[in-house]
Amino acid sequence: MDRDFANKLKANRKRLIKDKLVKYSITTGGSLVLVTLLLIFGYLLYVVLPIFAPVSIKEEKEFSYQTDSNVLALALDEQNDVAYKISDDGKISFYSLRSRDLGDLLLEDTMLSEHTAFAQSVAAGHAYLFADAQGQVKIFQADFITTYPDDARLITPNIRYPFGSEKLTIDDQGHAITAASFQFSDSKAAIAVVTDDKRGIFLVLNATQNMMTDEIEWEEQRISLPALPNQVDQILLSPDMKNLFVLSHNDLLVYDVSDTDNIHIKSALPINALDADVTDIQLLTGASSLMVANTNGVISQWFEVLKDNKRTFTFIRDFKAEGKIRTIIPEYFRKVFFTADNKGYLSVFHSTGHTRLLSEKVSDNESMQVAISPRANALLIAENTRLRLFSIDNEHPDITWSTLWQKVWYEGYPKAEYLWQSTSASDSFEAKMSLVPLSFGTIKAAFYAMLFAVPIAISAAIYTGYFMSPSIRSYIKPTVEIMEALPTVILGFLAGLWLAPLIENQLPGIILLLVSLPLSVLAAALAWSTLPKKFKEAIPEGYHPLILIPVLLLVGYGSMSFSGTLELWLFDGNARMYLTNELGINFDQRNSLVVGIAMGFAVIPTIFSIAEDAIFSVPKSLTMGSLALGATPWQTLAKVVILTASPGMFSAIMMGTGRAVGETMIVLMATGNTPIMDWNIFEGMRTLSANIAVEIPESAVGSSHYRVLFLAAFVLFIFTFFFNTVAEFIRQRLREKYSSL
Amino acid sequence: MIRLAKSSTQREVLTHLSAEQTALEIKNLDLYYGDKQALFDVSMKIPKGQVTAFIGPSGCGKSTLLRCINRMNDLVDICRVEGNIALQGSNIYDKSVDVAALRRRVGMVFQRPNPFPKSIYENVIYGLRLQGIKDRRRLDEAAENSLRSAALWNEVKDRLHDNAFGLSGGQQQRLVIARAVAIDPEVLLLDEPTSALDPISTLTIEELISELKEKFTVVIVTHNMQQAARVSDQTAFMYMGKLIEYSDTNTLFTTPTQKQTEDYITGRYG
Repeated sequence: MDRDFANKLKANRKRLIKDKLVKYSITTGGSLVLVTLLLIFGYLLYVVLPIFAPVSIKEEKEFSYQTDSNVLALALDEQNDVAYKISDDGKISFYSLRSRDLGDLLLEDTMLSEHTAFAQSVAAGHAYLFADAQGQVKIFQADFITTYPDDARLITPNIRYPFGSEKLTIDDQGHAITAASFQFSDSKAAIAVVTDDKRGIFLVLNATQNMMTDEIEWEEQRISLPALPNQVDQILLSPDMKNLFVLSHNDLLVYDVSDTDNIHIKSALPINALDADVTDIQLLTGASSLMVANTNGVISQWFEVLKDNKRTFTFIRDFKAEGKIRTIIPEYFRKVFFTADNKGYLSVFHSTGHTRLLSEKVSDNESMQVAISPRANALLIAENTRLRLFSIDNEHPDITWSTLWQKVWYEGYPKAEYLWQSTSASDSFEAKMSLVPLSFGTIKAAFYAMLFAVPIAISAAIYTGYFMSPSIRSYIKPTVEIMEALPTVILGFLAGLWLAPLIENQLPGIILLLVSLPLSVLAAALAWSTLPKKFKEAIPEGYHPLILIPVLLLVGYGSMSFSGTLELWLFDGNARMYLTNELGINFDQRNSLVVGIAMGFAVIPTIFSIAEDAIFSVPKSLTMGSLALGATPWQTLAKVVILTASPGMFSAIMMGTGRAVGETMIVLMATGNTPIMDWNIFEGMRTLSANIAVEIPESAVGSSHYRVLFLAAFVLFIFTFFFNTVAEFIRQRLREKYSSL
Repeated sequence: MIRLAKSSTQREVLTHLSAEQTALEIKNLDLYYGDKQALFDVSMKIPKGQVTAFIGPSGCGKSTLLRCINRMNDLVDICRVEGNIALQGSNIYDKSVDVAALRRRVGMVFQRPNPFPKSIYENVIYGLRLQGIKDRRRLDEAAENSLRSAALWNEVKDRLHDNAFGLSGGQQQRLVIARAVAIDPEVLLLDEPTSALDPISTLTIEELISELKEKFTVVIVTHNMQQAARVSDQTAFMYMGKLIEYSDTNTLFTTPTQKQTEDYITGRYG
């Protein structure tokens, strides 16, 4: 007896262990799914969050030097190993920034001790100009030679003279130069000067290669600037040597100097901020934007905008620094600029994003000089006799919440817009990364797909779940569900290569088809009901829809073959041209109609399957109850079945929407991927998912572009999360209300 | 007088009823599910304003017969009916009959309470809404009257617009009866209306049935002989798809003429 009991216990223990085992393995499995989800979420955030990290600067090193002159210009080499300053005694001095010989004077040379003007080319050029009282200039360039002795990098500073070590004569009359600006490229150079007798001279040097000696010879052309104002505070030549900006008190004159035979003023306008005077003008990298600094700390951005077929300088936006701004220092490659003001504040701005990234007091010196390293990861400040090196952490200044989600006025555009244009062949190109057109494209694609899919899938589900005889249903349901297994790449392929050209060529036929198919079904049903009873009874119950097949085929064939005639008759023989020219509707071959149909096909099985289940599982007792009260089958469907199945049908639609939102291959292959914002059904779109698929292979890991693509993925994640949560919430509410038994 | 059922089925029962006293007359009814015959040559007259019970063991065809009366069997694809049933003298299996209209005249209550996922009020007036009645006052009146006839009014009058699922099983069943009563049918079919209910609810429904016969002809299917004895005026005993015996309840339970009936009511099978 005791043994029996012990055996029983043993058996129980086995069962207990099994029970526990199953319990824990299921719990583990479930938790793992959640953990995986969290990991995906976490990883997305980990990649995305640095975009929104604030800018920070940190002082790394400093040293003192002996001098009694003021600093005119300051710069660093690309590796932040060597710094140089140009001072008003005409000297250029190179200092080491390496830890082992910090502050050592590496090279010093006097360029022009007696000078009347100083100018600097575009920052990346490291080229400078001193002008003298005799109308002559000396141009020199700081150069860095990188060698690797003992496998360690060594940067040796050097001074180059691109136009020879001798002075260049600008003014034949030998007057003193009071202001100068210059730019040069491999084949061309341009120098603009203003002399003390109020003349403006524009000197262009064109390089020609000597046929015999292969030496480069510079051919001079000297033009005088017309209508130069009496007072010239600053002149600035754009790096493309096409525009010359002349600042005269608070007025800006823009000379078009692109054609030396026709140099003229193309615009003259006051550019100062309200109740302030202009202190400095600078060109941002890319040379389209002119930044104007004011005494009250306002920096305004101006660029040319096409208005009434004329490019005019337009005020775009302004920024605010702490005190009176002394200089604007643009970054080498990005639309970031720094300002130094008389209160010792250093401010960092991103022009396009319209953001002040940082404003920090770094010095008590009113006249500090600031330089940015070419890679924008270091900052050099000269004050009194000290040089201080700061490191800057400013990886993604171009991406802010407002550039991602709000209209941004990009250089050269007539107005603020939502734009996605992440890459271009041009160097001075600024990536335009607004997620709005992509989100719009996603919603548009899903909308047209649902427009196509929902009526078909829901009607099919109602018919199959409620009216169809069980024997046919047992074939139809699995067949439609197998459609779901069709790889979307094949659907996309068919849509892009077969359907899109078909729709383009047979547009009237396709439109006719979309209208005539449902109508012909109704007409067929009507005709059927008037047929004699004997004929009707020849077809067994539930097989009636089969007679629709020949009708639909016939109508389909008829519509398509009528397409040409219709096109000739209504659309002057070319529907596409007619749409574009007569109605002003653009037509892309890969358009939303194609996507709607193709993606509609992809989501129909999802919606159908779930909705059909919901309708089929409406308890028979309810339909019976309704019928027993004298309801017709149609009334029963409308008042009881759909009502009871509504939670399921609703989830079916939301699941379909979720799938349409996340769908990639079809939209990738059938939309043309143009990130435009237009509800026009004949134009394409670019969706978040397709955009990720297209661009992630070409984006540099860790770049802003890369992180924004991850952000797009995150947004997509949120989209589907949102859809599913709302769907689930509403479904629960509906179920509480309409659940039965 | 004891006769073997096989040799002679009682074909015409309660033949003395005049046309005016008859609510339903079933004549030579055969029913097939595909190849299988489920009802064999059933003929009977169901008197107006009384309660008629169908009893018999499971699968004897009593529910099938009941469903023939409002043509619910039409919903089964493979079901075929021969013979006819006359409601107030006209054959309901005639080709010209509108089934929906027939069902408005012959209401039905099912085994399990099946309220719709709507409010109590909406459940009751469902049949009226189907008929396109929109007059609020008329609907309210009908709802109250029906709920009173179903002895439910006092329990639900304060929560007419609550979901019907909040009611207990017995209340739900009375609600379903009220719903059937609301369209004012001539005949009320009850298909084992208490089989899913507790004894107290059963009692309430049984009392209700006795009241309902004042207004309607009631046909009830039950597997509970005591219930049949308690509520019905006539009882029909069915076995294997055949109507074995049909007479007034007292007679059937006290002096059955058929051996099978006696066996069944004495509990020898079923």
